[in-house]
Amino acid sequence: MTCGVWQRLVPTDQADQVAGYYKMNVPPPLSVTITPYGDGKALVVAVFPPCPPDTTSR
Amino acid sequence: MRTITMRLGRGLRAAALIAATALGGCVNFSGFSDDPLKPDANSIAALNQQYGSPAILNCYHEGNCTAPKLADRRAVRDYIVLGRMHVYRVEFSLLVRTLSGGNNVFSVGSDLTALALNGLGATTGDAATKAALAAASAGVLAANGAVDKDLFYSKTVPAIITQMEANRARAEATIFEGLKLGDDKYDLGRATHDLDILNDSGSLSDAISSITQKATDEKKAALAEDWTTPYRSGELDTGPTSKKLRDWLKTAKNFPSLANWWNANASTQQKQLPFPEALLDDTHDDIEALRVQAIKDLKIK
Repeated sequence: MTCGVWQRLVPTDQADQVAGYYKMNVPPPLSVTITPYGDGKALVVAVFPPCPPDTTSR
Repeated sequence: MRTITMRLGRGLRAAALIAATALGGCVNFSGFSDDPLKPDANSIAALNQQYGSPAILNCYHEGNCTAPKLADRRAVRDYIVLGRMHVYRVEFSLLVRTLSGGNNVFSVGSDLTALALNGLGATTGDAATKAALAAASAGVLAANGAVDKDLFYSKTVPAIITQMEANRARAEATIFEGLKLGDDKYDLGRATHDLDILNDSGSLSDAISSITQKATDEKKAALAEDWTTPYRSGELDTGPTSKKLRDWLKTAKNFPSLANWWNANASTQQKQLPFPEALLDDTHDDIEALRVQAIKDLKIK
């Protein structure tokens, strides 16, 4: 299951589309925010539930 | 006035005598008790002869011995192996005394110093020790071989000795396990091999090698701690496969097909990535390979 925080630096005009992709995850993220990053870019941040211990270890 | 001076002088002499008596009786300035047997090169050579002479090896091969009286091969083996372990212990003890006894007795090259300090700085001791070792390491490198011996010996040598003792304990445990077996399962040849490992375990180079290896392993473990880290942030992939998949996904009814494909083809780890965002946007090679495969399998034009 997807957990933790994920972020993508994208051209501003594609931020909504990328945010939409994050929201399509099953289960969906707790929140998705778009923050202007300057230079025509935006930071899309998706927050999923915290990762249980060792779930993402190799 | 003279009386006071004389009394002080007598007091100081008395204190010095007490200190000298206390130290001279059983403890030298290295912090070790004096060894009554005082092993030296000659006595070690004699011990080596005792446990490695052709005569005692003949005893082993013949399966009995009259002097010392040993009934069978196993008894001879145990006599030889335990004797050699004793010799190595004596030699190791002498090395430790030399290392700990005085800063100017034992000389270690600056390369070794830097190697040891760097390794130790990563792995050993509390925060203060690490900081001191890191500072010492920087000093060694900056001064091109000039090392603060006080710091080196007070901080580094105990850690190296601890590592040597750990290596020796591991090697000794292997031998003791072997000695529980009969000679048919653990003969002198095999025991000699383990003895060689024990001998090397008491060396500086082996200890530093262990410490460096530990630092490397810990670094690898730290990097491998969370495989998702490189995927959690990054820029948008702008390659043709990403563009083709994004365009294809603009038709909403295509999404279930892509989701089914993802469930069937992504690895267990990859399924922890946010989908479809990672598949469409991530720049890593393994994700690009998935995009190429998805386009092929789903016949996306």
